Amino acid sequence: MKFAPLIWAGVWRKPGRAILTLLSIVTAFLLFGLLQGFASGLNQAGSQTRADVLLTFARVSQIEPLPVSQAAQIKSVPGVAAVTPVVLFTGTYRTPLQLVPAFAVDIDQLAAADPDLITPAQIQAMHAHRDGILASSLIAGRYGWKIGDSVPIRSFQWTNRVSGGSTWTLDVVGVHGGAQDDFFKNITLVNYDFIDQARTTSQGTASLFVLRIADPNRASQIGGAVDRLFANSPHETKTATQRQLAQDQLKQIGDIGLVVNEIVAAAFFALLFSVGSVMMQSVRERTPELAVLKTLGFTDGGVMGLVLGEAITLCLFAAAIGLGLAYVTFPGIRALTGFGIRGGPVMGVGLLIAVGLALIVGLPPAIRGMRLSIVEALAGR
Amino acid sequence: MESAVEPLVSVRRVIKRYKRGSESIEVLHNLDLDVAAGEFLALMGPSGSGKTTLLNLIGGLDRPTDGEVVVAGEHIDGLSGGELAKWRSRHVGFVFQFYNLMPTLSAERNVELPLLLTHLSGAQRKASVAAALELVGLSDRKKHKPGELSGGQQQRVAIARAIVTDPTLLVCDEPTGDLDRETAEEILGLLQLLNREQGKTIIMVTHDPKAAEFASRIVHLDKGALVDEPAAAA
Amino acid sequence: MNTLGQVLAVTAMSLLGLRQRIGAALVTLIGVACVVGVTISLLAIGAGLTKTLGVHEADDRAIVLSSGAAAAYMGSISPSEVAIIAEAPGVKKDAAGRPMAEPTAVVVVEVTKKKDGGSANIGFAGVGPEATAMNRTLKIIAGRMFRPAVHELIVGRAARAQFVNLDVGDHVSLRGVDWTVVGVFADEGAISENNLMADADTVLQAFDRNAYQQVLVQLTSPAAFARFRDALTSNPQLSVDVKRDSEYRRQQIGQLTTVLNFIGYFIGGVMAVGAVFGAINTMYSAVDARAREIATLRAIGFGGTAVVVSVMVESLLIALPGALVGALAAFLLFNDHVISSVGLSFPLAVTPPLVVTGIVWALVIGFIGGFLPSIRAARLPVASALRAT
Repeated sequence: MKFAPLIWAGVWRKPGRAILTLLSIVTAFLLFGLLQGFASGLNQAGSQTRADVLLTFARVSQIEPLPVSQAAQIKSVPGVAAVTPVVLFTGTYRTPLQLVPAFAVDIDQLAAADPDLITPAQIQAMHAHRDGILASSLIAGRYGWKIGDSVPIRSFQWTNRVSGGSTWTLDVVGVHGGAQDDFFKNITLVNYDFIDQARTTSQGTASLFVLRIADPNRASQIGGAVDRLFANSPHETKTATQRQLAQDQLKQIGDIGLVVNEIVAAAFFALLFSVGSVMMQSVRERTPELAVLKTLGFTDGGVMGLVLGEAITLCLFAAAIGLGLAYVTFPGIRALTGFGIRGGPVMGVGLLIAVGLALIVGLPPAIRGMRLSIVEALAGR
Repeated sequence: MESAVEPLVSVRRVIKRYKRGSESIEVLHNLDLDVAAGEFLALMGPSGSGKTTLLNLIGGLDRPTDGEVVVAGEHIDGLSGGELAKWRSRHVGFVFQFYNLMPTLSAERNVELPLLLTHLSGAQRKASVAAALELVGLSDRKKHKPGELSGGQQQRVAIARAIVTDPTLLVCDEPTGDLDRETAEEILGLLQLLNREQGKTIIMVTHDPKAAEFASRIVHLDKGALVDEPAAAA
Repeated sequence: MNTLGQVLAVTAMSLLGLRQRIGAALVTLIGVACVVGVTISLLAIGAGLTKTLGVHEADDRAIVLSSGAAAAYMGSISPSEVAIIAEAPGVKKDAAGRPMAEPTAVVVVEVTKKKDGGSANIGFAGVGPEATAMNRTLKIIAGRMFRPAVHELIVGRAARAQFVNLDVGDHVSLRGVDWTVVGVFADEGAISENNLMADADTVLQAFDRNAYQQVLVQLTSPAAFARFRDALTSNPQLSVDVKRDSEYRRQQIGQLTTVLNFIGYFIGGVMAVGAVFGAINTMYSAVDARAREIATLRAIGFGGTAVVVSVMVESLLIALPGALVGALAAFLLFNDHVISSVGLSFPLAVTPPLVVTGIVWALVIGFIGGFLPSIRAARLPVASALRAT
């Protein structure tokens, strides 16, 4: 629009000052973008999950094991299509920093519970090799595992009766393919029987059960039915969808989230002050120029619009840079931490806030510009 | 001056008072003045005589406390602030002592400013700007910013800006006050050119008698009233 | 006038003139206050956690764990192993001549938060009758102590405040067994106040365990630790890790504090960068506003050094009160403010080192903020500045 060159020239009237103000706004929105991206990632934690998968843990705490015999009982609950016991088998590969997230499972039941995950050939292979390990594509890629490799996994929790230590030597039989929303996407799989037989403690138990149900709409009824089976027994259960569990975990962060939000508010508050004062200063210096514009015929409203326009241009431009910088780091953070930080809506909200900021800091100087008396301003030099 | 044609500018019984703290100062006392179309009028007087105030009233920058100001048949004393702004954009071009150009804009963007308030298209604006700069002889400097121009060149740009909308009136407040003798004469010559060849009505405030000689008529102001009306210069 | 005299004179003049620039100065002050306040508040989380962890830290205590146990609730130390541990060199004996080695069961239970109905995992410690002997600061503030061999437990003060159904008289169902809450304990704000406590053997039996997870040992002196540890790790009948009490505490929540401190420094750092830009901006404006004054002084003959110092001093004098305001705000708002997260409930601590950190940051901001503008002030072309409108 035709006033754009005038507004842009006004923003850059004092380039040094404009850059400094720009940079303060950029840093504030960079911070905002990172924190909000992080928060929205946390909120999304459970959303990309399947509604027809339920997880059953011990009610007393997720750490207590459940007897594996419960699997058959759970399977008998109407609506349950498949049940696999899961023992947490996460450990390290060769060095303490090379993590392998792994589960020991009943491979047949798992295949029934998650048909797209494993091929029949892979099921066969796991039957043929009791000490077999079916790697996730992520792990196989990262550590370069190939079929036939013999890999040592040092388990965090389980001592191997045979080897005497916590190292388990397993035979790579394949790489499974998990879809994006698959619970087992990044999990490497081993045979439950093999682990259970050789571990020195907790035999005959599972860390949790993974259920596949036929009708996702009946998730809470079926979950309730499962839990009722074991109510008031030493092995009471708590069955929930992955999403519910993720949201519950989110709540655990509790007060820290609140404190961080308060901090961001403080940062913007400080920014408001800072930018507002710069704008006021700028208008004060430009009083004669604004007066001249009025002599040319710009109305009071026009001058006000000009000052506001500069505020909005500066704030939006700077916010876009700050948010853009935050956005650019997201893929890197995702890769590094595996955390699902996401942009999208954050950016939109951020830009809206930038406009709000511009209006708040721009209004007082804009009104001042609007109100100035031409005659006094021209005479005052 | 009596004339068969209506004067372009008619100031009648104008009083202007300012409030300074609790005091009220009367700067113009019951002033009457006519300016004919096509005149080049010089307003002279010592500092504090009220000449700038009178200029501001005629140019629609301010309103009289009492009395009438009629320009091209319109009572501008009765217009609201917003209406005055609109009126100014169409009818007046200003030239100031200190040029008052936007330091951040190039010469041609400076000249374009008043046109932004019209409904002309980009191409039309460009054409008008080029014509105005051509008239003041600065076409080759149109991309320069004021900081890159001499005093005289800046004033030319200011004059181009003042005439680009083809206003009814050109109002100049000490246009040569900040220029050396030679450059001042160039500028005054330009104003004279605009007056004689383009028929522009010009009202100029000045304290310099040499500058006043370029005008077609001189009036004197002292302590807020016209003092005498010597015969028009040749 | 010598340099020092010049510096004092120019600085005094600039400070007197500060009144006209008070608006911009206040803005920078508030900006610095926000940065300092925010950084200190965030770091107070980690500091509070560390402080709470440190309550009752003792150099002459040791903890024995199963070798390779990845968490407090993992591992198994059988009663016979406990007996061996109790007879090791360096273990203090109580008044009755019994070794002060307390076998402890540790399990985790899920409870429900009062605030939002979410769940949290807290520790449930099973302790022996020597519990009170070794832990003299433990006090029952409501109800009574639990009895052995029955399903009675006591609740820590902070746990009762955070979670539902954990007051005297309430019943908690764990693994199908009904436990009665018979008392509430306090321990001078120690982290154990976030947990539950009951008789060790009762807990083991209720949770299907046959071995303890930890043995807490009181040593004869801090120096006895080495001897004690070596005796146990060299013993072929035992498979244990031995840690000093202080080392174990660090390990417990070490990672969490690191993350919290990282967040604090990161956010604080980004805000500080923003504040620096703001400060530079303000000081440039201050120098511009004083351009004529500075040029006049230099025309008179005052040297560049005096000008530079006066600008720096002004910048620091704005930043310093900002730091104090920020630190005070952080203290008033957050010190001793209890927050709950991941099952832990503890007060934030605005400690003296934190305040000092905040002040140092503010001074750095003030220094950087004043530096470039001060150079410009010293280099201002005198003649044009004198003419400036």
